[in-house]
Amino acid sequence: MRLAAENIVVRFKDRNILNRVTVAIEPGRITAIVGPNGAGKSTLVRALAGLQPCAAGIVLLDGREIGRLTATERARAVAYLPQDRQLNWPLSVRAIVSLGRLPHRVSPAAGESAADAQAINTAMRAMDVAVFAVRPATELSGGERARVLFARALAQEAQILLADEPTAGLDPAHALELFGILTRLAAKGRGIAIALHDLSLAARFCSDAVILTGGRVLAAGETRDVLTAERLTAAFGVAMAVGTLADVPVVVPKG
Amino acid sequence: MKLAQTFNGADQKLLGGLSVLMLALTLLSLAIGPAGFGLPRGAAFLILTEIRLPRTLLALLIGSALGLTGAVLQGYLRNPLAEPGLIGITGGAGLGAVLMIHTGAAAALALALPLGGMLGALAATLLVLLLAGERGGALTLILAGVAVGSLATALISLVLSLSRNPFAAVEMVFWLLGSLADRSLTHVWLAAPFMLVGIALLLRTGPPLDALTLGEEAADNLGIDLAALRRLVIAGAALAVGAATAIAGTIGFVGLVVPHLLRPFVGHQPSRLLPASLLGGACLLLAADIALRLVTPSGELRLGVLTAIIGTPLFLWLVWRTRSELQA
Repeated sequence: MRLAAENIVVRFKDRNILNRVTVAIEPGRITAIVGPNGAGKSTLVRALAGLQPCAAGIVLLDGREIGRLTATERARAVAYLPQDRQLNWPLSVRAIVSLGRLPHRVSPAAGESAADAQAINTAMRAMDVAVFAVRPATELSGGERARVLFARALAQEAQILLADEPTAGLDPAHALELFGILTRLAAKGRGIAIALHDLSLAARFCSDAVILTGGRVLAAGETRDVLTAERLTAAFGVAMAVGTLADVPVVVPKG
Repeated sequence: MKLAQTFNGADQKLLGGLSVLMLALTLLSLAIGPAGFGLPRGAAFLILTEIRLPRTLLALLIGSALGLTGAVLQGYLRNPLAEPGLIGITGGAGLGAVLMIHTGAAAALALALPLGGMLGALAATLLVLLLAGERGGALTLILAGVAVGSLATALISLVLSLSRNPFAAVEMVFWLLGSLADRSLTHVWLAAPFMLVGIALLLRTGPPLDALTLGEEAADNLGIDLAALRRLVIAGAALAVGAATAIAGTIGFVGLVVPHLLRPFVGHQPSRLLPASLLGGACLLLAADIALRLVTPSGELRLGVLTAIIGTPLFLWLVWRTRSELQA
């Protein structure tokens, strides 16, 4: 599936949060959405998820306007992980992950099918949270909770996966693991877009990148063409260096 | 079997246990009263069908409505302090009934009281909908509910203070305190359809409430129509609680305490809490009404007063337990 935003404008009061933004999430690609605070990254991810009304422009899922899909059609095609990690009740980890199966239920009264159980267990194993399965998710640390919520999005088994800062609060091992999973999902043809602050992770794992500043696209394309020292310096307003350390791409602010 | 898929083994035990308890309390409620305990013969049969039966049916229905509405509102507003009175409908029903007493309509026609209560609940619901809007989040609904509830309370106070007839004023106050005494089967037939439709609507909110555990954005992404959920919650609560209050007056704490008590037994999952709270609410109100008849057979103590007297220590204990859990 292909998800594309074409010239979208999102307005809040009389301010344009997004101004004629065009991006495409292609199957098999991981797109990083980067930019300084307030650039509109989260709004763009929400708009791509079909949760943000646009004042102009259009978001298309395989050529169909996303706002015209039924809620269930949209939920089966696009999984979205918000930045805020709300957990209002101390549900068990497994119960949280199984919420990702709600769009696949045939009727509200239907219970868990074999396919549901498999998707839930696969997602829990992938995010390394199966050991917590029966524990209340609210008792976990911030990073562990983030993994549980990511597992929910994985259990949704959507062709498009959108996530807002999924690695925030994750330790290095689990951040690398998460990108390992994203890379495998992309290899299977999923389209992935993530808003990221960690530019080194973006440079290392994402095939494409979009730099947003002030609600506009500063640059978009393949990561190695987009995440250059010159462009990042212009975007973040601080001198940036791009290089490799131990054969791993790194991006550091020089200040 | 559908039920077996929906509820796991522990839930079946809980729901089964609550059902048995409810049945036992129902039989007890039919058997207990000033006219004596036991199976009725002759005149006592009239007491059973005309006095105890409506009272028992109303306790079942109203307890279910309050317990379920409390669980739904706590899930929808994601706030464990939510209770049926929070969204202003109880206040509206109270005002409607008080106005019926004030104008003398209640003295002329017995059913004017419940009808007035229902009209008041309807007016309050429309006002809450108008204020809170279709799309607003949980907070706007709480704000609108508190505003409408406060307005209703203020107007009730106004009617009370304008009442020249002290007997009417006492009748209003007593009515507001909540009671199931002296209701007839006509009351049951009048309110039951509204409450049953309300309960049926509220029972459909389970999966969306589960999804709301992750917040409104994540629920939206999971394909939950938040506007439809809001309509379902408000309409269901209005029908169930509006009709309940119109018949029985204000009965507090059932909708607050029952979901709280049962939540740990269903893994804190909103959908699984709904049937449990429905049965639990019915049990609690039946038990309170039975206790009331045993303690004060002549009926000086009001049901709403008793539920508040039982409910408050329970609630204090819950606060205590929550505090020690948070500190642990």
